[in-house]
Amino acid sequence: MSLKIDAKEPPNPPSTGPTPSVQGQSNQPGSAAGGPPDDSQLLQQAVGGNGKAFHELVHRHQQRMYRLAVSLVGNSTDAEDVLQEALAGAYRNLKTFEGRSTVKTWLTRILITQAAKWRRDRRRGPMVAFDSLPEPALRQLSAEHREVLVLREFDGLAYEEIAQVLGVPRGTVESRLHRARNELREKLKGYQP
Amino acid sequence: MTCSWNSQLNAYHDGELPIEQRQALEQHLASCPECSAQLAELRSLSALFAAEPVMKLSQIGVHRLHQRLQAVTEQGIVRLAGVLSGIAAAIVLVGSFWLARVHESPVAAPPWVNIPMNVDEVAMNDSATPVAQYYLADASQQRSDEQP
Repeated sequence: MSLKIDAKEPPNPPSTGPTPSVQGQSNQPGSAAGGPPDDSQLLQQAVGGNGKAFHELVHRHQQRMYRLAVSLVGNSTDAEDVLQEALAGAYRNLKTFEGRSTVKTWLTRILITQAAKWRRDRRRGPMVAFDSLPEPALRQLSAEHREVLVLREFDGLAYEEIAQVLGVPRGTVESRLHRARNELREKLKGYQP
Repeated sequence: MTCSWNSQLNAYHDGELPIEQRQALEQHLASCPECSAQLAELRSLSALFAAEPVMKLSQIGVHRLHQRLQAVTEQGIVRLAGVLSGIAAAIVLVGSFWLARVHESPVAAPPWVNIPMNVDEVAMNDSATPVAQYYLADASQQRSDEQP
């Protein structure tokens, strides 16, 4: 099923504190030093009609995004669908990327939006049986808490980046993360693996 | 009662505290068992996430993903080709109509072609203005007077 993607690029909120180094950051400058092109260069090539550049960009982010998708939707089959739709939507909206955020943040935001749409559709349609979840307690959290936790714990995003992905202030990320962790700790107390 | 430093534990744990606050919190942790316990819980929670097996997209999944994206990128090219073809067709169509119209209507003769060379050839008609009629009549009169 094809869903319309909200590919609006997240605004770049003013920095309110130090940003630690981020794990998995693949937006390294490259071609200027003769290395491979960085993410934004690949994206610009894709905008110019270079399909191979887009496939290369996807190749860089597919595993990271897939893991996020599994954590957000709870099963591998739907995670694959969500990932496919998110990246197809990203391709259709390549021109909306203006470089105010990193490509990684932009793609993650599209994935989060797609997962939210998937959840809405799932509520309207028949319930999909969950297969084995990597984080059984995580699925009991609200979507808001789950999003902020997986972005921090699995994707290693800094607070500033999470704020961009979710479109909320940095302070909201901090408080939401605090509440999410408290809630998860409570859930885990009653969870027997 | 919760310790006032409690709200900063998450940011400390995530490496998001500025250095001054971090140092101050570390001093506090040495003397606050409550915050130390909370921090230990945060660390064990993150360790749980870190211990989760990394979910990887299978080779088949990767293949399916790129196949789907191939279809999308090709759709884009086909759409672009369609738009360009449409524009070209429109130009050809408009051009054809224009050429057809140009051939149907012969080129109009310049206005001076129809100017009478002789005043006698000018037909007096009702559409001529009274001033023109006066001058024409006067000219005719003069010509007839000059004739022997």
